Amino acid sequence: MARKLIFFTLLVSVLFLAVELSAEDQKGGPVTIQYFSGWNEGEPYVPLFKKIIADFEAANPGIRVNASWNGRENLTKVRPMLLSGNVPELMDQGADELTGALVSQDLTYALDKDLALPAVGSKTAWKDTFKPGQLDAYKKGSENHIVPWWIDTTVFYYNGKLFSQKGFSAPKTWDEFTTLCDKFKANGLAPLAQDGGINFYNVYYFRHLVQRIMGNGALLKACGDRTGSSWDDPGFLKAAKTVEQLAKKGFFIKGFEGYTFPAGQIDFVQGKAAMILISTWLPAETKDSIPAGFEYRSFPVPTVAAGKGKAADVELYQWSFVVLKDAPHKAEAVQFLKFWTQKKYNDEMAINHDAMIAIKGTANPPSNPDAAKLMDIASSTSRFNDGVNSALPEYWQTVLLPADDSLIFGKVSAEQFIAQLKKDSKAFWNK
Amino acid sequence: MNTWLKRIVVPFLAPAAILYLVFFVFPAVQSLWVSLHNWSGFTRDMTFIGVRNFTEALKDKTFHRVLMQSLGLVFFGGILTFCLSLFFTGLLGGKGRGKGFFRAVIFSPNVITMVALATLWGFIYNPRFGLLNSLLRALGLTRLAEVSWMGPDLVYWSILAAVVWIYVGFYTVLFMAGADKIPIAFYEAAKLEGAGNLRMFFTITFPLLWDVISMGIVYWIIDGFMQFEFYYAVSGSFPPIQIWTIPIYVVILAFGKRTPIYRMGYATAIAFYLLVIVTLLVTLSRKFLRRTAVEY
Repeated sequence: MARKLIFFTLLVSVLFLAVELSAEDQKGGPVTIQYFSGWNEGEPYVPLFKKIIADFEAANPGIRVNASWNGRENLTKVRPMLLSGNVPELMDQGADELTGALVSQDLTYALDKDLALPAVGSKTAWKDTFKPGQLDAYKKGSENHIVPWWIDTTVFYYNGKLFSQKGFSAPKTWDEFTTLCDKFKANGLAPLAQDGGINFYNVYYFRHLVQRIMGNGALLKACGDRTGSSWDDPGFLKAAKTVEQLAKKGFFIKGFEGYTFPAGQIDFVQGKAAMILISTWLPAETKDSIPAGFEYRSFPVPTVAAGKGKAADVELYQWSFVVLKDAPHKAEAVQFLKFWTQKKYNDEMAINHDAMIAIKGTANPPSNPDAAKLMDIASSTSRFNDGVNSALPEYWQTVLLPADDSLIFGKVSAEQFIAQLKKDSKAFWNK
Repeated sequence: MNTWLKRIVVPFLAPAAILYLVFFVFPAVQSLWVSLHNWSGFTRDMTFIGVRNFTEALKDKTFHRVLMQSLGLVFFGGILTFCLSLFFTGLLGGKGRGKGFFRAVIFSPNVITMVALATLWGFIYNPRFGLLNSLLRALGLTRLAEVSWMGPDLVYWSILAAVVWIYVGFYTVLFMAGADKIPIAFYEAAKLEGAGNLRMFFTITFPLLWDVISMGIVYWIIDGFMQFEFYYAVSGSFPPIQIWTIPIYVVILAFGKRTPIYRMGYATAIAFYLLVIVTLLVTLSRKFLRRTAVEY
């Protein structure tokens, strides 16, 4: 009996000790912050991110960073954590997704006080280290909940060497653009590559033409109109007719509507089409497919005569960070973010991975020199897809994208497209 | 059963029953509760809205479209799968040289993961260098070789053909297992009477296989409505609306991904409609396809 009692006491003591030793935030023990990343561990940028973590831990011995490389299932994986109260400090993903899922539901921490304080190793306020407009695009009212880092916009890419050989230059207006497309078609080269299987790539044409004709915010307003009557504005019909013309004239590469990603962008880098309208992550994605002699150049979506939008009006896709409001170690998380956004890491990301970074003074990515300059001189910034996919995601997915596919594939006329949008908008908002 | 045996059954059944209750029944009941709420899944705040999710689904044009697409898959896919499976059953039934090899070949898609099969069919249907268009070009059928098999007009039928190809093997093996039980004496007697292979198939094999076929129909109804992995993977995780099945629509509504929809309550209501539809069709098929058991 005595032996059993001693054994039982020892067992309970060992268990108690184990629990105590494994507990975080012991007096004098390191603080651990949880970082839920939207990157998969096998992606080429992750070694740099791991290096940033290691450097931060070395510079801050009292803080550990526990990274989970969740990939694009990041928001799905954070849900049970939030519900169970085990809230990670940091997440990163597209600002549109973070806004739609977390910021809109008051789950994120407002960073304005921290942004007003100096950046790491500098006297400049952290907020003043960001390029113009980068912190404005995804504000929640007047508050900043998003820290953008890797930024993208949407441009037309072309092979600089091909254009030089043909004596062509980047068009500035839409009329110049269609004339250029005619010339390529006459030369036997498809003017435009397109991954027809990606519906949100297809809508780039309509979305950007609406911006060039009607300015920022017009598309979001029309999509949110429960009566559908906003679609009667002639600017939308003009944008739709312009897309219709591209399809009718056969400017898109043959068979594109049946493409599975990444067939369209592979066509482009292999010289089967002259240009492609796509986001500026393209050079990073096609790094291993570029043939010798290919020179990545780009131009912004051309302006439309009498339109409100300017060439330097920049749409932003921002791969961003948020700090979760209910996480226990928010101060340490912000400290880590400030450490992350230092020039040496920004430059390494830009040079080695062709990424554009939201911080001023970052080196230009070698394959995105034109887009980087565009970001520096942006006359205005707008949310990705004019904010429709984050503010009205179900409408975006079930009304606008399917209708736009029919337009760009040449299945409906511009008038039919607008009529469909009006009808489907009323049905959607009144269900 | 004596008392001792009755007592011992309970503890042996208890673990499986408990697991089933905890991981299947309880979540299903909880899902019904979720479907009565407006809920994103990110917070504990659930707003009770009664049956509004269910009434919204009845007016949802996208749900109507997706339902028709799923019904089409079950109906047309079922007819094609069963016709081909019965054809192969007739062809490969009984003993013979090489029949084991062909059975294995027909069944082989069932041992390969759906993602790998989706990659294969993405390659087959590639308009530029895919297997199908390359073969058509080699045969001189250049007009057909320019068809966009994954374009909006044909993608539904192209994927349906691939799904039929995947499932034919399973149902062939199922029917052949049933056909192997039919006594050879019946066929010998029929041959003596002068019946040919086709006559024997329709007068002996098919009627005596009916119980297996009706069971197969039940399996297919469930399989057909639950189609997700292949449809999702073949489009590179961006399925066009033309190939949305009900499970794909539920996932898009509940889990968002690139488009942050996150309507757990509404998605669960749609999933409940799926449960009701499948249960109704399975019940009806069991009722109308049942017949008196034949013993031999």
